[in-house]
Amino acid sequence: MSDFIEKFSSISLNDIKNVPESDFPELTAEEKALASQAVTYSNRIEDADSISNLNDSLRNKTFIVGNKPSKADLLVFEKVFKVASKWSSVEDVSKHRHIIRWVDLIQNTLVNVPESEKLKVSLDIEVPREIKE
Amino acid sequence: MVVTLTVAAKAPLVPYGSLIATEFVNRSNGDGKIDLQVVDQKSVDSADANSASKLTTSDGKEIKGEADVLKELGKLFPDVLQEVSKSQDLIDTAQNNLSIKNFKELATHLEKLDAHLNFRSFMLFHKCTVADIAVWGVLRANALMGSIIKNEVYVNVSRWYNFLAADERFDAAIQNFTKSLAELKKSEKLSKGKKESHKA
Repeated sequence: MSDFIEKFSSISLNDIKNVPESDFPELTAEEKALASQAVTYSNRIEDADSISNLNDSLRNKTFIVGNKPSKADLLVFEKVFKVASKWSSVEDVSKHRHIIRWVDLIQNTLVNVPESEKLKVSLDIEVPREIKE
Repeated sequence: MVVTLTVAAKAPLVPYGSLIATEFVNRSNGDGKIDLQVVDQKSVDSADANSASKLTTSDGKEIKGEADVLKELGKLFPDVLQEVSKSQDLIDTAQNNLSIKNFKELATHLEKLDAHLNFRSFMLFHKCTVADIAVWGVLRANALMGSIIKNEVYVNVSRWYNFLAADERFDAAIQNFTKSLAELKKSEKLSKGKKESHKA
């Protein structure tokens, strides 16, 4: 599935709502459930809980549903993108590292964000290693 | 263009990287193809016990050793095996540091790899490059890694590794190699006769 994103022609932020789900790989029942849960959470993105849930969920997933991109990536991206630009302290960046990693992937593959509006991501910023609990 | 890749099936470190690169090339629409030969040996070079793979180009040039083979493949098939020049460091790092079978020593290198993947989904840029193929291949070949990946000791490494494992080109390369191994074993058994193969 890593070749899918290279062939995908990126969508502008304004067109996200109109993208048919059929543009993406088919999802299993479990992946569909993950997708709709993530979209629901993203509607309450200002809640600290929603944010930390999303970050936890993306810890072991490259995309929202796991290894394949879906429309949920676009819908959640739309909501998260603006919030993410507020994270500037190392502490915030560290706490939201998985969301930031995912935002950077989406803004450079699925969604066409003008260079000047992209979230600035310092790829090599040092953050403490996460130790599994 | 046809080149031949020879892989030593019994190498201490199976050259999964060049096996995956072969799958990438042979599945692409490009003109070039790689002819794969799996041989029942520990090395493809009698003079060097550590040569797990060898590339023979159409003009007879031979390149031995996994890191150099991957770099050459990247030069020969730049449209399919991307960003080889930027991948050089990671190809070498993988061969030298991630093949280590001493956990304590390996751990320091895995920590660096995990940090590299804090804000990255791929090794370089936002696409699968030769660097991903090289690093993934070495981790797949290192017997210590199976449980480390599964237990998410380095969560970013596990996420990235599992993501690429789900790519059908990676998956097919592993499966094809496993099949060749089984065929080799079968023919070995036949030639040795039944008595000997039941020694254990």
